[in-house]
Amino acid sequence: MTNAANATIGFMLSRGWFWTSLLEGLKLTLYISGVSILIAFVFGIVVGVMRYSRVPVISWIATAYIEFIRNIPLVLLMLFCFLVFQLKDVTAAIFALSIFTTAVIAEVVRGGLNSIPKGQWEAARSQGMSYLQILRHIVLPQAVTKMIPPIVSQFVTAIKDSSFALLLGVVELTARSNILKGLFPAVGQILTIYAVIAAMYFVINFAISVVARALQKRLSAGRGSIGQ
Amino acid sequence: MIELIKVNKHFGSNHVLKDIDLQVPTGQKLVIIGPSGSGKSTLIRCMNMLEKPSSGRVIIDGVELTAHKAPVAQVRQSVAMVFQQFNLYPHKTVLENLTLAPVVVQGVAKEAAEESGRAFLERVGLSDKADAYPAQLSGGQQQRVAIARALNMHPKVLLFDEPTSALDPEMIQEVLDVIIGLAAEGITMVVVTHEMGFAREAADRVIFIDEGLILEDGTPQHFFEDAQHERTKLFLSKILR
Amino acid sequence: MGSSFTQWVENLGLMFSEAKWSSLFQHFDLVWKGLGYTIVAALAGLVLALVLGIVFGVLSASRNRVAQAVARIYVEFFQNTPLMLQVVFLGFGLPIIWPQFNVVPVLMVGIIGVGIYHGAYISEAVRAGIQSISKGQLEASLSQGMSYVQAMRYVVIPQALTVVLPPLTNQAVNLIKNTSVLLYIGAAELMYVSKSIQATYYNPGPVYLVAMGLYFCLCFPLAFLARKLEERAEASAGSGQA
Repeated sequence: MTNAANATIGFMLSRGWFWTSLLEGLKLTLYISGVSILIAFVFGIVVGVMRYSRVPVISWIATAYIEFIRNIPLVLLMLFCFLVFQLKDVTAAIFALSIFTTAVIAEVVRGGLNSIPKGQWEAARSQGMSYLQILRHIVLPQAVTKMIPPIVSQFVTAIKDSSFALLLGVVELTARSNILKGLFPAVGQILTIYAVIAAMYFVINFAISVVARALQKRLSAGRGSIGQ
Repeated sequence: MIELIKVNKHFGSNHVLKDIDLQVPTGQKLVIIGPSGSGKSTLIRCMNMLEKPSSGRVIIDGVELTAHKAPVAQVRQSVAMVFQQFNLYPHKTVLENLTLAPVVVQGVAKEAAEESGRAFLERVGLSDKADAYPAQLSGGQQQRVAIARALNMHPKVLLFDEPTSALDPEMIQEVLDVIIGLAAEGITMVVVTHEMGFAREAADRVIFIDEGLILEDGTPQHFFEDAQHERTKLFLSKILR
Repeated sequence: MGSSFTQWVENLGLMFSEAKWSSLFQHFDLVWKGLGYTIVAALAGLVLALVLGIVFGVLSASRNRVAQAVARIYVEFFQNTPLMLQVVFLGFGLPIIWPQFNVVPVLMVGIIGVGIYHGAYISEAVRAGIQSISKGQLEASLSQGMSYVQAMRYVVIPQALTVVLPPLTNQAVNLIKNTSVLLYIGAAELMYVSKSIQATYYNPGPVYLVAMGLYFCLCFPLAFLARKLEERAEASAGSGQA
């Protein structure tokens, strides 16, 4: 039963369990996206380097993977992992998000490697370095600065896309809105619920972008890469 | 025709133009020279309000451009500028570059604009390039098209902001020849340039600007043979080696 | 551990049995319908996103402080919050707050959600495109007496289009994929149809595999086109200037 006192925004915001519910959701959101990001970072670099390999089979496998994953919806991937691979809900979400983000990061890595002028490869090769040595000492260090903004924006995307997990029944941050609006049905309260959730995503993502920009400035200061 | 009264320009803390007073009578060919950073580009860009003076007045043909709600776009129709970087419209053919503004701004009929445009292309020696795109032309050719584009507005004033500074040496003369040819007519011209030979040949009046101040102002003869100010002499000695 | 893995593989195989496939093909007309709605939603969403993108893109590239700020708010808000949240709000929250909104068909609600979200990304592409056109082009047109609007219309924006087309095409691909979110609010697009067939006939394997194939067919050509446009844009950069 709603009486006037229970229908205020202030009432809702003062309930401890309003915030704990949201925090639980946020924990799941960050857990899912965090684990996926870590996995995708490692595998993304691997697949990206594979894509750039001169061995046709390796490059082809990586290309097929990237092209396929990037052209299907993440929602579909999550449902597939959940219902066909029969993974548990959170696991399926992480699996799908990792696969997806890996493909994107692999493309970023390829783009970064491509941006290094051929002259760098030639100079290093003329000094007798092997392919992997060149990558490790010459090319990747220079490419890293260029790759940071798109990779960071992918982290932000991963945090946002973790919300698709609610389709699998995972009660992450966005899903909390459904629960809470049932408990606090007044108009002002409902608006506030969405506003608070949106603000939480916004603050986190915005902070990450800001940090990344500062990081990029720090990394590229005084270095001056060629072909900038 | 052109009046600059007590014009000052600041870029942040940089005082680029200091209390400039300048009057250019109708029909005069004025050449502005000076070292880089002297403010000469800023000065000429104040004349068509591409730079807004921080203080002072700019009056073109009796119309005060610095006044509140001045009809700047309208006045710009009679003040044509040729840029150091040419700034041709790459997505339009040469002829379209010439006719775009007359049609869209002045309301001239397309056929009339094309006709006068072709005449000016002939004038600058590029009538066969009417349907080419700027990317297909050399630097010198592009700049000549830019001049024809300026002329097709039938302006009262022609402004040239270092028209040959971005050209390879072998193309500079073809552009200068066109400008010298124009100078023979009655139109008011202001040219910012490093080309001393051109100044000597085509100018009625030369001014030397350094660090935002006009230090020397006189005929070409006075300028090159009888300069007064120390810095003018220093500058000339470096240029005319 | 080994046996549960083999059991898993067995289950996986069962999912793709003959019966599971035929139950899908018997009802394949539903799949076509769903695909149709996906395409409709994607096209309509793209139109909305383009309109919003161009408007806010031009605003954020303008010299007017207020216009810049308004555009900034739009872009930052919709780029930093999840599409899911926006669609959930439009589909479940807004109708409670504003009952008249219930009149709007669910597909339309989805189109609005997807359109506004991608409009933010497109506006950034438009802004980058406009700003990539050198200042000299604007100066040349203004110096000929054109108004700011005329300069934009005849000189800057036509050139910006070449630069904007590749990221725009990429956004179109993302938009098509994101129409899948609409399944949550009940719009009868491909994802929703897939889920309901799968829930009725217990054949997620074939159903989702087919869905993957269909999305791939929609998206891959566009992605390929985007790459070609990218190469073309890079090749034609920087002509007409010294």
